[in-house]
Amino acid sequence: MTQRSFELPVVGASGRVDHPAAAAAFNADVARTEWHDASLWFVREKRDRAASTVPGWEELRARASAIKEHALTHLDEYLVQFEANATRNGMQVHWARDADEHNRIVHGILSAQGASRLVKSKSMLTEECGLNPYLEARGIEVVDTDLGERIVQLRGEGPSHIVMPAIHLRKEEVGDTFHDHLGTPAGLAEPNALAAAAREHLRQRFLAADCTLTGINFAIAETGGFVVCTNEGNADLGMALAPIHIASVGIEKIIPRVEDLGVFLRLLARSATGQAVTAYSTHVHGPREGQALHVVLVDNGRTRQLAREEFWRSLKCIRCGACMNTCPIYRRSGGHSYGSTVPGPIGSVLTPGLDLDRYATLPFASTLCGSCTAVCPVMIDLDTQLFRWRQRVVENGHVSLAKRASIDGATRVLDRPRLFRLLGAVARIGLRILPAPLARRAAGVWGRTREAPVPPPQSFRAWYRRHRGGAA
Amino acid sequence: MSAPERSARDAILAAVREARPPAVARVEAPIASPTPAGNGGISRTDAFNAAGIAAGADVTVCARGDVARIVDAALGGARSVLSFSDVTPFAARVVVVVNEEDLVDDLHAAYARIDVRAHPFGAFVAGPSKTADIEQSLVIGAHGPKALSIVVGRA
Repeated sequence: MTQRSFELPVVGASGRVDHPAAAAAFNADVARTEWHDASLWFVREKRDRAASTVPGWEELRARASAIKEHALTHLDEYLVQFEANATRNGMQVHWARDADEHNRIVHGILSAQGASRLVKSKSMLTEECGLNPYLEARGIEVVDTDLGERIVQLRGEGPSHIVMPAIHLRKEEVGDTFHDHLGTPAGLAEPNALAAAAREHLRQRFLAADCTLTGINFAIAETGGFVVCTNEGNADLGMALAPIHIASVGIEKIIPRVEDLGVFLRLLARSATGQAVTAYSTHVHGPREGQALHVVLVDNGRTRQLAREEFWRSLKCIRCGACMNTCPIYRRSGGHSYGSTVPGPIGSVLTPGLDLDRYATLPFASTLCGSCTAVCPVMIDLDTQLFRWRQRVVENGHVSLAKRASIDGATRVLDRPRLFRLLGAVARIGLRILPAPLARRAAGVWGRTREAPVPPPQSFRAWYRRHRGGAA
Repeated sequence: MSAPERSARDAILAAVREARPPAVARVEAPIASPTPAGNGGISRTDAFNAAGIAAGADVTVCARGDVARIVDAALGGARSVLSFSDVTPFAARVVVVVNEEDLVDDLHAAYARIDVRAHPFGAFVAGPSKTADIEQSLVIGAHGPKALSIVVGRA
């Protein structure tokens, strides 16, 4: 088994995700951090170029947002409509309240047909549900066929990004993994050669599979069909070959009409990778002849998020990953540091809804700069929602004593002008006489990587009084 | 549907009804398609040619920002939605023949012309199978066709 290149201390002794500690561990490898940051910024720039070539881009974003808000506020009607039309199209529709029900349903379909070899295309929902370990424990061979997903699967890791699952790895690490598992020559690290080896390896799995599982990007209520977007065509290969096709989908992925696809497909790939459209945008409206086609509709916390007045709009997400690519925290802390299937700004809004105590640090994994909101193709107000989660976290007492004490202290000082003035004077003197390392330490985390400021000779208040002469 | 699944269905729908935020109305106005004038004054065929996607050329669609507008031009008409046989995703090379009159400006126009329900399986194909999952290096032929050609003909 390949050694993982780094183990992030994501979950602390308390059982809570400790994003700052995991991010610090990631940052310990300076070269990797710099490279990770640059790789994602490169994708962000491609997204900007793609978006800027589309006349009416902002109109498209507004429309996509409006369609999703309409769909989510009529979700029960569209779910029932989708179910009726999909059934008419020859699909079998299943409903799962949570991850466990989803996994049982999938396993039930497989065992009823005696199927034991499953090929999967990318599905963040099945990552969220922990489907792979569930099935493997029951003797099913599960093979992820998206190249990035296969790389992290072979390494025993989860994806670190929802679109680019292996974005945290260098090609040499992929080469080592393939050497261990696929028998490629030691030291081979050329991407074309590695991808060719994976193609051959996976082709055998495709041909042997007795079931394929795909995600769904858009489920269409009006027609009872769905769309799967990939660049590799791996979903298409699986669907074309396996006698059973299972498509797992979160209930928020329903859109009302076929014509809505025009809006979403024009936005999705441009936002994700800067491509005009994914290489394959595949429409499924029924099983192939002789094939069984199952759709599993999964709630797993989505109705709880829908009920939250402040957060339901996060369910508009179409999983493009643009908010991750642009986020200065994500780029410099890596997807694994979030301890959540969906990392980055959208993950930090969705995941606390599942377990606020466990994920209390995630809403703080942000500078609140708003870059995520600016690139979101469905106009989710991510920075606002992150800020609101912080308020919920504090209200519910999920904040460390040290942070609470410093905020309370700051409040007391800012409430008392005389004390504020006194401490200002102390700080100006302190900064002048203290050795620089001590001054930096006094500034806490902020001072770790920064020089202490040069203190001004007087406060602004004193300066203003002297020069303007007004009463303060 | 099994009894547990039926109760899951009813529970989810009840939870959605309970949770439903205030209704947001649907916007019915059509999205404006770029007219030739709005598309820099170039016709669709000219745009294809300019992009190096003339008859017989290998399509490396999606590649360049300066042709992104016409890349959005999905292929309209019945032939455009490739009805996948078992063979298509396996072929090393795919050639699509399309009438000039079946080219449309964008995906909105394409969806207006096709009936997605007519085929159980159909795809918009925008180039060969590709991946950039190893260090963002573009690799052609991750799984499916390694080349896709589009021949634009005049009926």
